[in-house]
Amino acid sequence: MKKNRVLSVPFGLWAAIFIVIPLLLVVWYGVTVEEPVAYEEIVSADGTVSYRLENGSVTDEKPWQKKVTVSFSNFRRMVEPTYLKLLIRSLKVAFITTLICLLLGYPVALILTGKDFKHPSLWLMLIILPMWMNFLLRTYSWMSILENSGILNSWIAALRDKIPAFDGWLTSLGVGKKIIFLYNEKAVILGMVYNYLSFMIMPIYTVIEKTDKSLLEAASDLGASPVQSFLRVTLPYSLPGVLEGITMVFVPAVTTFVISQLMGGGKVPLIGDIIQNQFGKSSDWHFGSTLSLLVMVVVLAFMRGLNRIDKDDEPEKEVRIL
Amino acid sequence: MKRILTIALFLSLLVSAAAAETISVYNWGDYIDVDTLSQFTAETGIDVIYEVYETNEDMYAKIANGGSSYDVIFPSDYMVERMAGEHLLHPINWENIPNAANIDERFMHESYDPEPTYSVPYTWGTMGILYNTTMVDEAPDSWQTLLDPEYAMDMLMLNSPRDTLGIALVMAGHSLNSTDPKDLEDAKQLLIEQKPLVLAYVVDEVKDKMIGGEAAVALVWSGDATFCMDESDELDYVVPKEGSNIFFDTMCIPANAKNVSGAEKFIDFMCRADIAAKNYEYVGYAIPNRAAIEVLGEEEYNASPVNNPPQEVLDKCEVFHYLGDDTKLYDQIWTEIISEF
Repeated sequence: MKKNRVLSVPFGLWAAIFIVIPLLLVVWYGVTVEEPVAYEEIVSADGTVSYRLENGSVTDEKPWQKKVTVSFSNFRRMVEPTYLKLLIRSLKVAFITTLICLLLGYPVALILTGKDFKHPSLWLMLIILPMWMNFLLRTYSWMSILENSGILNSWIAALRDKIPAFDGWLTSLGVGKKIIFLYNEKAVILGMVYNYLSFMIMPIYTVIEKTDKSLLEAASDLGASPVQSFLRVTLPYSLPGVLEGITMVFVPAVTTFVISQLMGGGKVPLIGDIIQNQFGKSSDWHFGSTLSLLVMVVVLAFMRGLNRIDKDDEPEKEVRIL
Repeated sequence: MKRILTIALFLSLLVSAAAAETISVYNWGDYIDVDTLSQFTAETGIDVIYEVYETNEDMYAKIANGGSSYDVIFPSDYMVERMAGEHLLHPINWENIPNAANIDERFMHESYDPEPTYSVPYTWGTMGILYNTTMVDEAPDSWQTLLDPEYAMDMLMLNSPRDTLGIALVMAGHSLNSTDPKDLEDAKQLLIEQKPLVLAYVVDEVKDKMIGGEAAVALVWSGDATFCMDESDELDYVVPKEGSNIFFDTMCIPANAKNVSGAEKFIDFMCRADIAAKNYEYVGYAIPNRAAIEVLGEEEYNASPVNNPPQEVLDKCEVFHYLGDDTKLYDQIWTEIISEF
């Protein structure tokens, strides 16, 4: 026992330094504000101005110091409609992204685990391979494809030149010379789906792959149709993978800021963009931390909800299989 | 941009075997020709420890928290004002910087440091309109271009509260340093009206997009304009006649500098005509150094619209002042503008 405890020391230290302390710092910044020190202006008879600080000391120089005080004013600011609206939009965009990833990812995972499917590991590799490239790079590639002066628009323009009927058809639909694909919410969702899809496929694939195949055989022996055995065996068994996939897509999607800036051209700000502004240009770390706490609470609540689904489901699953 | 050049020049260890004097320089990324650093070491025997930062705020946080000590820093105008106000800068002894005589008097008494007491201007620039000559009917000369429906979905704005709100304040006829809520409300309304015309609010991406012909007009800093015009012949730059922001990046000595005399030698060296000219050729920002401009050839230097906006327009340009607590007000208004949907 003692030995094991010693082995856990490095992890404990790691967790303390890189998780617990930073988290406490965020909480501290979140519940405090930085304000200029209070002072009183004293104008003497000969017109010279001096300043009296709260502690009673008097200086000739206008006080510039700041002091940090505990205050919940940032929490009041946080619940203003401006910020709540952005949070709701972030949740909406993340929800749509997760749903699309699930609808695309589940069938892919299913196909990859199919018993007739050849070279699943090769295909899996092809799915994971792009993730080895930096996601900024991949997002920039999407930009050069979709930009007004991008690849897709230049192909469409070339086609319109070659095929007058195509050109006439597009013109009759009221499509201009350049089609604006980027700089809207759909583009942001596309960027997110592309970046996070493999996070959905992988956990589902792993879980289905590990499911005992004899269960499926048993189901078909007992006269279940393929649809029935999918609904009663594969689907319930894959639920933990689905839930994990949902978490792995939803959480980064709710907090992202780079994809929305690049694909949305700054016109689809999400809560992550606003938090990033607080730590950058506006340099208000206190308000940025308060907003981060808000997002953290929302994400935690979401994960708790998912956990509950996970637990609720387990006994039922056993019953169904039996 | 993110190139991190942490170069410790141990070169001079070979030059002088004695315990070498060092200075530590903290500059913007890609903002100096590093050859000049080794030249400085070769001439003075002082080693240079060179580090870079991305934003004024990053640099400020490091200096203000007192964790590290630098001898020369390169803050922008409003940051000089802020740091001087917070006693973070060391006054400059001008007797030790004879080459400061090379700096154009026009740029020596800006309101962020009027004496000047703490700062030597290193580069300067403006905000203006970068436009694609093949996509506009006539060359713009006014901020009204950025409100013109002709360029609907064909213009780029900066995703930066201070800069974009500042220009909107100028459009509305106010000072770009105004913190009067009424003025800011005017600016906010202008930007909300403008929003349907804007293709995107960008920062660094503006360069790629303008070079690629993605939009006809863009609000840019002159440094980015120079970069884009070097890449594409179709682009041109103008500082609108209503006036604009003029900014300065300066050289200062932090109050906690360890080697003040070394720092002064470095700043003096940077003000030398041939060195300033060399750095101009590398960095591409307009310089306040008259002697260096003579070295470079006045005619060629002035040919660039970035380096030579008309004096009457320059007279209407203002530097940004430090906003203090009103930074929050700007952030609030900016968030309201972009979250309008």
